[in-house]
Amino acid sequence: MIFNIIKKEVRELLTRSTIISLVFVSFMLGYIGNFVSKAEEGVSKKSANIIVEDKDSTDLSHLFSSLLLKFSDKDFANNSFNERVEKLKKDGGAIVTLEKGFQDSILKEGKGEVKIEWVLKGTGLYDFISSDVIKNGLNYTKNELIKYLLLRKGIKNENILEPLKIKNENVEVKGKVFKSVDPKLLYSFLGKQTNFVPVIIMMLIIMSGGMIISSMGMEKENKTLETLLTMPVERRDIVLGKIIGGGLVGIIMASIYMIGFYNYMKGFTGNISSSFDIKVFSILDYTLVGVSIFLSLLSGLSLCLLLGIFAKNYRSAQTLTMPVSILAIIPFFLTMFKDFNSLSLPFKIVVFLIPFSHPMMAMKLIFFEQYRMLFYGIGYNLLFFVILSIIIVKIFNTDYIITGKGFEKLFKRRFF
Amino acid sequence: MVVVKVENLQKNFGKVKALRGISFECFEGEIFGLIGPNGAGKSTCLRILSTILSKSEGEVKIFDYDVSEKMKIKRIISYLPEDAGAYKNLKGIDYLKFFVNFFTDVQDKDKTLEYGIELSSLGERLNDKIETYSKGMVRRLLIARSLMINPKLAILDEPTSGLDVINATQIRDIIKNKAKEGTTFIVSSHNMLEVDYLCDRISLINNGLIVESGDIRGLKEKYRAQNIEEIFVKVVGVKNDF
Repeated sequence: MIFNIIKKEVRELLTRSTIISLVFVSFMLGYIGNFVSKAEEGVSKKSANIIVEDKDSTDLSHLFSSLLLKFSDKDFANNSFNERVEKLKKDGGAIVTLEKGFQDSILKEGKGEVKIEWVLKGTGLYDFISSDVIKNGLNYTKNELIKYLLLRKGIKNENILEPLKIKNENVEVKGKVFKSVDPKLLYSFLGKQTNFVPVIIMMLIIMSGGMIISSMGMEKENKTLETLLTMPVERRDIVLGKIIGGGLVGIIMASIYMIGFYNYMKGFTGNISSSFDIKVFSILDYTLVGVSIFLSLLSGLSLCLLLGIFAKNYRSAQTLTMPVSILAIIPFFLTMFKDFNSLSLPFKIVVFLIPFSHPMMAMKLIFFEQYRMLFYGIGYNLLFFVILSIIIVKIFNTDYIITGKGFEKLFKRRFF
Repeated sequence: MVVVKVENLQKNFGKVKALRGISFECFEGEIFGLIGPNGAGKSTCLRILSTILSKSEGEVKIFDYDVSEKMKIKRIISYLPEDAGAYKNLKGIDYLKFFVNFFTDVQDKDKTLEYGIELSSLGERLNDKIETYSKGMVRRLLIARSLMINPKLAILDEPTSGLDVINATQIRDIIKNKAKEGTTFIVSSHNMLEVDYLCDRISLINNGLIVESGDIRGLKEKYRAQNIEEIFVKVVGVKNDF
C-alpha cells in the first residue's frame, strides 16, 4: 500500500514544470561550476606579468630584478620589452621601476625606493589576484635582500630590516588611472561603492519575483483571477498593474535593504575614499543607476509573471521561483569575481542576456565612465520588458490563462 | 425582453468538445438555471458568457452586444465562479472597495459600497481580514461583491455550493429579491431543490448539448415528474448522474 502512496506523491510533485526548472537549474549550476573551476586556476596562479625597469643597474638592483622576476610569467618574460608592455596593458600586471641610486640609498640609509605602476584587467575579485602574486614576490625579494645584506655584505644596521620603500605610483584599470593608491585599497573602495547594488538586486529579484509568481498561483487557486478578468478593465492593464505593483513593493524593499547594507559595508570599509582621488557620483549617475535597477526589476517581474502564468496553483508556483533565483545569482557571482570585460565571449553573452546583470554592473560602469555599456544595458532591459509584456498580454488574452490548455504539447501537467 | 441569446454555441479545447452547439435565451428579470452533471459544459458556457473564455463557433449576444464586445458587456454583468475565494490579506470592506473602484461609471461609489455592506450582512466583521472568515462568510462577501453594482445580468456558478442551510437560504433570498428588482440571473447548480426554488426556467445540459429547456412547472407536467432530478433522468435516460 505504501508504494501506492509513494507513486501518488511522486506523480503530484514531479510535474513537467518542476522537471524543466530543475533541468534549467542543473544546467546553470554546471555552467557556474565550469566558470568557478576556470577562475580557481587563476587563484592558484604563482606568477604574474612583471616588468622590472632597472635604471640603477647595480649589484643590488640586478639581484632585486632576478629575485622578483622569479614571480614573472615565463611566457611573458620571453617576449620583447615592447610586447611585454603591450601584453601587460592588456592582461594586467605591474611595472616595477628602480630609480638611479637604488643601491646607494640602501647601503647609506637602509632603504631603496621601488616605484610600482599597477595595471589591472578588471575590477572583479579574480582581477586583483595578480597584484597579490606581485606583492608576494616583493615580500620574497625583500627577505632575500635582507639575507644578502646581512650575510654577504655584513651590514649590521637595523634599518636594513626594511630595505624597500614601496611607492605605489598609480593603478590603471580599464584606461582609468588612480594615483598613489594600493590596489587592495582600490578594491575595497570599489567594493564599498558598488557591491551593495548586486546584493540588493539579487535579493529584490528573488523576493519580489517569488511574490509575483506565488500571487499568480494563488489567484488561479482561489479563482480570484477569473473574477478579475470579468471586471471592466483591459487585460493589458491587469498585467501592467501586477508588474508595476510588484515593482513598487520591490523598490520599497530595495530601499530598506540598501540603507541596511550600506551601513553594513561602511562598517567594514570605513572612510577610505579620502586617501585618493576618485570619481564623485553625480545626481545624474545615481538616476541612471536607479533607472537601470527599475527596468531590471520590471524585466524580472515580467519574467516572473510569465512563469506565474504556467503555475497551476500556489504549490506549483513555488517550484517556478527557482529558475529566476538562479538567473539572479549567476550575474551576482560572475560580476563579483570577474569584471564583465575580462569574461570570455560566451560568458559575456550569457551575462548580457540576463536582465539582472546590468544594474549589478551599473555602478562600476559609471565609475569607469563606460556609459555606452550602461545605456546598452538600459536599452536591453527596456526591450526585454516590452517584449515580455506583449507576450504576457497575448497569453492573458487567450483561454490558456484560465484553462491552462493550448500549450499542451509544450507544457503537460504531469510528467508521467 | 431577451437579455441573453445563445445560438449554436460551440467550444473546443483541442480535441475535446466541451460545448457541441447549444442554444437558449434568457429574459429580463428571470432566474435561468443551467443544470447538468459534472463536465457537462455548464461552467464553460458561463465562462463564455462572462467573456473569460472565447467561443469556437456560434453566436452569443448579451443585451444585443456580441460577446466579443467584452468591455461593454463587462460593465453590465457580474460573474461569480464556482468555489471562488477572495484576497485573504484584504479586509472584507477593502475587498468590496477594490471592486467598486472598477466601475468608474457608478455615480455614487459610497452608495454602492453601502449596498454591498448591507448585502453581505457581515457587519463589523467586514473590518477583519478575509483569512479569518468562514466559508459561508466568504461566499456572502462574494455574492455582495457580485450584486452591489446592480448588474443587469448576474452569472452565478454554484452560488451556494458547500454552504450550510442557513447561509444557503440567505443567499437564495438575496438572489430572489434582486431578480424582483429586475436583475437577470443565470445560475448553475447541482442542488435540484435549489434550482426548483430559485429558477423560473431551466435548460438541461449533458455532454455539451442542451437536451431539454422550459419552465419548471411545464417540464414536470411534460415528464410527469416530481422533481427536476427525475426530469433529468427521464430526459437523459441515465440514473445517478447527479
